[in-house]
Amino acid sequence: MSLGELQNLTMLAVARLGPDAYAGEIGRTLAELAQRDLSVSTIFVTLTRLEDQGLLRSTRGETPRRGGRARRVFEVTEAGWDALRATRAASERLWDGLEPG
Amino acid sequence: MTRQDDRRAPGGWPRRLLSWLLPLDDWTDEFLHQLDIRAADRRPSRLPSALWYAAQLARPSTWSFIFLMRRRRLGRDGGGGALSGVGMDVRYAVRSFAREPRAAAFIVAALAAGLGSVSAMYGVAERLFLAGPRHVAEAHELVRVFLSTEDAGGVRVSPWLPLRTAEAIQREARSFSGMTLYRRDRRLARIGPAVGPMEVSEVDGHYFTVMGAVPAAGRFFDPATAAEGGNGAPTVLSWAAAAAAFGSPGSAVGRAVELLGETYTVVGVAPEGFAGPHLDRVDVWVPVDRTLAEGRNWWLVGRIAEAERVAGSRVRATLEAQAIHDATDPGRFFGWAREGRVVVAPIGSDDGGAVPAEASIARLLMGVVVLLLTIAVANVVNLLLARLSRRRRELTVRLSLGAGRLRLLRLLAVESALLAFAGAAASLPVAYGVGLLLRRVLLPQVAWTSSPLDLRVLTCTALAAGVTTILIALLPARYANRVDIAAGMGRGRNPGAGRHRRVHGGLAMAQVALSAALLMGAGLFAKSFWTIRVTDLGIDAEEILVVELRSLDGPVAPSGSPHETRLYEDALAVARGMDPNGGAALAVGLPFISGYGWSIWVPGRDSIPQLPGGGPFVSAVGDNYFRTVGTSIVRGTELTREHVESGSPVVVVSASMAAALWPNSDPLGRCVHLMRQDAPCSNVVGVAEDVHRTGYREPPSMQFYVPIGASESISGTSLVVRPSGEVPGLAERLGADLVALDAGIDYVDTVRLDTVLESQIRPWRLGAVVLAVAGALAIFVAVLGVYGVLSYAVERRRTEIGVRMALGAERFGIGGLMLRSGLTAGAAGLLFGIGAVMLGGPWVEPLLFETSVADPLVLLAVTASLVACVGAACVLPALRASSVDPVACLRSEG
Repeated sequence: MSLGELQNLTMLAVARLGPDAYAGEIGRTLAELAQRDLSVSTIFVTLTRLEDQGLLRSTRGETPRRGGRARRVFEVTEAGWDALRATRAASERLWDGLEPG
Repeated sequence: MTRQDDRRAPGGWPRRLLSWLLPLDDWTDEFLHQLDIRAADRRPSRLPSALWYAAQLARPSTWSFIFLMRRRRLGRDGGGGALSGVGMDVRYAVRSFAREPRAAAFIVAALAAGLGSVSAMYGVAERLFLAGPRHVAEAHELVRVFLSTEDAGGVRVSPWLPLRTAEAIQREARSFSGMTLYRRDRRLARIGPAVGPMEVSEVDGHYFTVMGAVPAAGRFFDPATAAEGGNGAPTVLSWAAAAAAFGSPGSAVGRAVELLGETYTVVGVAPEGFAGPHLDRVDVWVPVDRTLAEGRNWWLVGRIAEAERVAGSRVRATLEAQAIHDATDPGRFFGWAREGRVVVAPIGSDDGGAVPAEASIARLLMGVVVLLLTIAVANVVNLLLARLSRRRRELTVRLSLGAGRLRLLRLLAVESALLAFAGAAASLPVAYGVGLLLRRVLLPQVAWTSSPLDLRVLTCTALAAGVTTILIALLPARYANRVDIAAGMGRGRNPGAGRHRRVHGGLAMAQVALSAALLMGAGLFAKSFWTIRVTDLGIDAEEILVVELRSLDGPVAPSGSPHETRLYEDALAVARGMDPNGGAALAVGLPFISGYGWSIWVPGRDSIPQLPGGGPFVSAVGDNYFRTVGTSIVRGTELTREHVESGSPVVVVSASMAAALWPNSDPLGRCVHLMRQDAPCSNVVGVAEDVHRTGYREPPSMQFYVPIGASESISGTSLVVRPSGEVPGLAERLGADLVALDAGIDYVDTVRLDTVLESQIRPWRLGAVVLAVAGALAIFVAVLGVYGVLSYAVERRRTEIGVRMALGAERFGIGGLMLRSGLTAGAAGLLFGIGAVMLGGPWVEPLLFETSVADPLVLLAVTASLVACVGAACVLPALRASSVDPVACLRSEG
């Protein structure tokens, strides 16, 4: 299964963040590392769809402070890693032999 | 910031809307939280907060998220998907209603009454105002031409035009793309094997072209073929007449129709339901008889030309027709028309150029049935709310077990839809019955071609049921949305109980108010109807039979001929012999049937004063006439057999005529010259009470009576019979015996005089009947509503009542408390309802007959009946409240 660009970037951000992969942090990572300033609804729609496709899994995380809200933390599933690898392989095959001028 | 903080959130209504649209869970909470963080991070100089949230709402991705979350929630609640969940809800709703059959039956009956009445009224209203005349192309382009004349009696608008005027406008007016002149008549005809009176329309050759109708069989006649007079002239039959006489419309073409001594050939059959531009049934269309046309009046209908329609005005057409009328000599018999003003009015106008009374009444009734449906819906909502209140625990258990609020709402929506569907199904017989009743009572003369339950009515029922579903689902849905799990699972009071009680009370009050308004309407119409019935017409119209001898050749004998005189004398003898204790007399110029005006001269007077009702009108009557028709002689004597046989010049005058001609002096023995100034003196031998000549609303007019046979200038003899009631089937036996009198008599036409007045009395009769039925239904529903609300209140306040009793309250006092609360709601509703009718007085009073909306008798009757009914509805709950056992009640709470 090959991922779309936004899905690919979101999955990579989740994978990088590990136990800190909750929505707000994912948005900030995408903005900093991928230069993609996405709206809150775009991030939430992408995460929801990826979860519905079984590529991400979410759990309710630790409450960060007393009285604060529990956040939903995402992690990449096995199917998700397969999809990431397939997307990367497809990309590398296409890059192979190309020398950008 | 969480959902609970919504009211304090800075985003205003866009954020609240967003929060409302999203289902409740931690993921959507996090979404809102992230939005709030983004909103707070914005630089202060940028968009105001509410606008920023509105911009978020405008993003497609936001709606995608809402949709994804809603779909997730449905999938979780519905198990196997939304549809299977709906199926489960339907099964659950059916089972739960089966456990409460009485409540379910009441709800379905209330909805059936409301929906059925609305659908039936729609069927009538659709025929009256929406659909226009059947098979007439672009009926909104058609207009009627009227002549408005003014005399001492005021302005009169008449649809009748002299032939010359009508033809001149038809020939010269350019504002119309086509015009046709025609008249209608009831004539004796032989169509196929059947002989009987038929509705005949005499029309010119342009008629069918102007109507734009297409024949069902054969062809229509045109100006060229319509001119073919004499035997074999073309005629067109209605679908119904052709089917009745010849089996099928197609087989009627080429057959002969006999009418007034002429034989016509059927050239075509009109499409089913076609009655020209009006609603009244027509059986036969024949070409204008040119030999008699000049002396008759005609109706004129035109189709406004394209250019005029664009201009959107009938004004130019009116001005043009007026100019043509002014330049035309209407002929020597039509002096009255010379000063007339032309009025061009829509085709749906009545013969006075106004909106027909049936249309006004039907509009009112449409409002009434919508009110009835509203009352039914209010009651159903009340019952559903009470039911939901009992199910509070069930709903909270469902919520606590993980069912979403959307899931609960769906269950309630399915229940409402099920009820509305059952109500709609049960409303079909109601719609059929009420529709049939309305057709027969309101519009018996209309050519109805479809069943009272046609596709349009069924569509209306479906739409009304859809709206009803939404209405009866709204309040319960709001209730379900606010069910609190913690409060619902506990044993404490429902935090919303006070608000719900107010809603219940308000709905019950609204029902009483609407019922009061309907009952007021029923009372006012009944009073109008009663006022009409007791209006002294000066003649006992409801007891008089008018008998006329008819031949297919027209009059049974030449008018005034010895043959006609002998036939009617014989008929009089037969009638008197058959019912010796009844009354019978001969007359020419009967009130409500025909009228003749004569000029008179009175010695010592330069001119004759004018009365508002016009005149002088003359009737020629035989002996025993006044006793037969029930007109009392105020002074002097009535016309006797001696007066008739001697041919002596005598006259009986009406009371108003006597007062106008000889004020403050005795009219008996006075001289009147009739028709010519040099005619011999006719001596006044009696003064009769005033008689209405055309209808119920009529100012006094000058009327006088001469012995029958005194003049041949008026014709059209009738035999008037007043049955004693001792001879069963008098009308039929008289008809059979009179046909045998002479070979020339083909048919004996017998009508009760008041049937002529039926169309005038019909709107009030209909209003009284329908409003009374609607009022009775409404009061029944309202009484149930009040009973339901009070019973519910007693149930809810059981603990409070127990505590009060334990603290020393009297049982009588507790019962009185409940009674007072019911009666207070009833009294408030009564005041609102009566107040609304009073405020609507200017719109309601024109529909009434000499009755004011503040009629004390009606007010008293409505107040008394509503107070009695509401009081009766309160008694049982009050008794139940007073019989609460405080010990048992407190123990169960402990």
